[in-house]
Amino acid sequence: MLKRRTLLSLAASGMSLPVLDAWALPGPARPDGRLILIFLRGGLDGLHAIAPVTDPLLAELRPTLSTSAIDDGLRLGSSGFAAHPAFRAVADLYRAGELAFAPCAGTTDTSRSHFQAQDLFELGTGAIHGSSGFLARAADALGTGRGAISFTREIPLAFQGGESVPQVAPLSGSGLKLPPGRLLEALRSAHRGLRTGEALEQALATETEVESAMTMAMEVPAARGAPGAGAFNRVANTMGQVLRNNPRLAMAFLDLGGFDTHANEEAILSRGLADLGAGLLALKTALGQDEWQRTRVVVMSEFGRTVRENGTRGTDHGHGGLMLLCGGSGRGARMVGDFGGLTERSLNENRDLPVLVDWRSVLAACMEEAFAWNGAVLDTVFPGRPRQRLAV
Amino acid sequence: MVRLPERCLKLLRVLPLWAVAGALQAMPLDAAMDEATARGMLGRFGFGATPAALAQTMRLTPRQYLQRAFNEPSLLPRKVSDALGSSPIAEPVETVWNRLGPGGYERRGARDAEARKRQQQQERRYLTAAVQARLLTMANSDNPGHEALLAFWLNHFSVYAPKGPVKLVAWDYIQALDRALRADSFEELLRASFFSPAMQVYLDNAQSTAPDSSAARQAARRGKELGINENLARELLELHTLGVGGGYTQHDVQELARIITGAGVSTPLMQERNLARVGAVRMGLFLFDPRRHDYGEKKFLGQVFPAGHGLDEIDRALRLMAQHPATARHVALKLARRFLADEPPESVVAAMTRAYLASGGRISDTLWPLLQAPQFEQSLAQRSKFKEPVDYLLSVARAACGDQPIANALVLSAGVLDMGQAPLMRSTPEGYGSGEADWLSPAAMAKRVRTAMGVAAGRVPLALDAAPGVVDPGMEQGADARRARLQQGMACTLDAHTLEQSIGPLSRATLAAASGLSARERVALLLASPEFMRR
Repeated sequence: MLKRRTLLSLAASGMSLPVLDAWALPGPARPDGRLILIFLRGGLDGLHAIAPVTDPLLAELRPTLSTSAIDDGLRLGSSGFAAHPAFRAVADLYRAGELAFAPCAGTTDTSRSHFQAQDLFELGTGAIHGSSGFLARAADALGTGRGAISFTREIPLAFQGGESVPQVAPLSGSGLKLPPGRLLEALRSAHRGLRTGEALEQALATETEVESAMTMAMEVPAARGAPGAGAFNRVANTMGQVLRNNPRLAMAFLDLGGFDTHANEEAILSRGLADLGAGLLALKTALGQDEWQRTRVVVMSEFGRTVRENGTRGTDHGHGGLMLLCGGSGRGARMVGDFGGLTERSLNENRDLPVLVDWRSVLAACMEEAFAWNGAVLDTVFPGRPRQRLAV
Repeated sequence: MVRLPERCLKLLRVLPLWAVAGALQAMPLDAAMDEATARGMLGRFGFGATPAALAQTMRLTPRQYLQRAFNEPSLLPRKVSDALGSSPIAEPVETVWNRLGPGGYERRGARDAEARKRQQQQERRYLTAAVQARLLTMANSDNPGHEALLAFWLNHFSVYAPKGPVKLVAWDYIQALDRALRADSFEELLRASFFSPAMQVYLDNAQSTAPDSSAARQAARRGKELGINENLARELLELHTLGVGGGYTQHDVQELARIITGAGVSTPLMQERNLARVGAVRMGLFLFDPRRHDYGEKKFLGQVFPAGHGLDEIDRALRLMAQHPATARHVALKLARRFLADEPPESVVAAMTRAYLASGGRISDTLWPLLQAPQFEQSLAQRSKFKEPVDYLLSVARAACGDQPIANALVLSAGVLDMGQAPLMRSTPEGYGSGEADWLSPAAMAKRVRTAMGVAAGRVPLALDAAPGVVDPGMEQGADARRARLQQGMACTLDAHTLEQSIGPLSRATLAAASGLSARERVALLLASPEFMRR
């Protein structure tokens, strides 16, 4: 039988091969699905979040960073992996059959540059320059009945360059509301036909659609996180309410920072992972059971980090990393793609995890399932994506 | 960490006009500026025109305007300089560091949670004071070109001031780059940034230790493992000098990380006697500690760095990077994107790159080809750059206040933070982008329109005296207290003439939209007009 890595490289070279095992079977398509993408900027250390605790090399390669997972980690079935104790929410989702993880996923980036790897991810073509991001192309493909929203302050590269300005609703700070009247009408007319005008019109459209849901959500006391809770936990509830109240928003994007852990990683990620996990649960609660059933949440980062810990109790920029797939419509508790262990032979450049699952394969499979898109549509979203089909 | 080369530039939505235009006029570099050029320069290399600034600038040539920007410090109105003199930034950095920095006596003394909280509040005061002092200086400087160039370099060598003890040295960092800017040399700027406690702490190099150094061996005896951290080395190559695609390898990153081991900061716990004995070198709070340095042979960017060298090989590496052709190109492209166009013409970038190399990295020499390019004059006329949030708010403040002092630091810092940009507040080391795609969004437009409406209605007390003490726009103070502070005090007295001088000629669409509006509405329209969004 072919080794998986060989399979992937053959697949990447454009040869079409029959799909060989269960994780690669296509799933049933549901055209009314929803995709939420949470992008962790900075390069999450996947091996710290979900650690291969049964691998004997783990403790040796990460003398201080592996102890919490080895001693107190939450085992994920018989996968050999355990979630970091601060990542309890993820273990709970896994045990409820609502979460799968890919330990060696990522992009084709080899630069180990945050900026280049993030651009590569957001453009989604395999190139580091291009005229549009993959979410912009996906939003165009959604057509008029469904929309996409970016819960960010600015328009992320992933959403740039499409047919229209995407809806952008920052989850913090003041909203978009502008007092109506002749001044506003004068401003609209002064900006008409300009790019500033498009953005202004989109602000007004988003305001009517989203602002009321947002205002409502922000007044719920539970939306304010417990003291010390991080940004995501605070905003996830708002995000869930906005989406629940606007069923036509079929695609959502959110980015979180603070994962570039060159030093003191245990302390930083103990907070970061707790926040991320709590936020995922808050999102699930806010969406409600029915919406959760049609929702798929994908969490990923631009790259993983070095397998060995560095001299300052942190890790440096690496290659393969962790991808999480959760939601009520997934295929439940399992590992997606392979994990070849931590021996020197299995590592990329004797330094990082390899990328065994291409990010476009995962996202394309999610879109295929959520929106019942065929291969031709997916090719416009991810041109040149590897011919690897995943069931998610 | 999100991007460089600035990622907006990856998106070519609009064909640059010069791609289709015919014969173009270049701006005479050594003739006094007419009003339109002066207004354009004050917008592109500054924060907008006021009547006094316009009159002053029209007496200069473009070359003189930039030479002044490099050579002369900023003068501030008395009211503002007095406020800065009584701000926490006026305290000597060594005193602050020895008190509150790592190993500082007050930090060591803070044993219970309450004391630690008080200490953290103190640290935050220095951060807030530095950010606000920077904004006040930009808003009120009589030499806005200097402040615009300094803002560019502070953003190029970006640090995130809220990170740990960087808060305490944020103002020190601003001053270090300010001094280096006056030397008009990229290498001096690179050195100022590298040898600053802020950068050493921000990108973790202060902890990086050669695994076979005496410090690491000593730590190992105590059961503690010390080693290399590549963070600063990577960003030096990728962001500060050669740039992505500049031809360096992962191996170069690792070798540079070895070269710069030992660079860090001093703490009051270190004993002078020991430091002298091991041959440590101090430059302000910067410390080169031979006990952490890797004295082995290295090979960096194709050159052999022989064994046995310490601080001198760091100097050598910095010079090698500063004079590297890829650095020339990287710096030229970034300057062109900020000061010419999101997608600058290749011919101009190439001319700037040559000028950089020919002058050994003089910034002014690198900028002359940009100013002399016909596309520059055209880009001023077309206002082809979308203003970044800080520059937008400062230009609103200047247009509203004319030549009255803008003394309310809180309005400025709360305003720009709400818009997503503030000096030394980019959490990732690539700094903020300067392109339209980085900043033009529905939320940005909504916020700008709201700001313009508030200023026009006199609700924004830009001229309020900086009160004693620092008001933190962050989370600590109650929202009500902040609101009360923002509402008391005074707005600048707006006048239509100042505003029109600041904006310049209006488009037909804007004029048509303005007809039928009240005077106040007209001001709001102008401050949020398409013309005022750009420079």
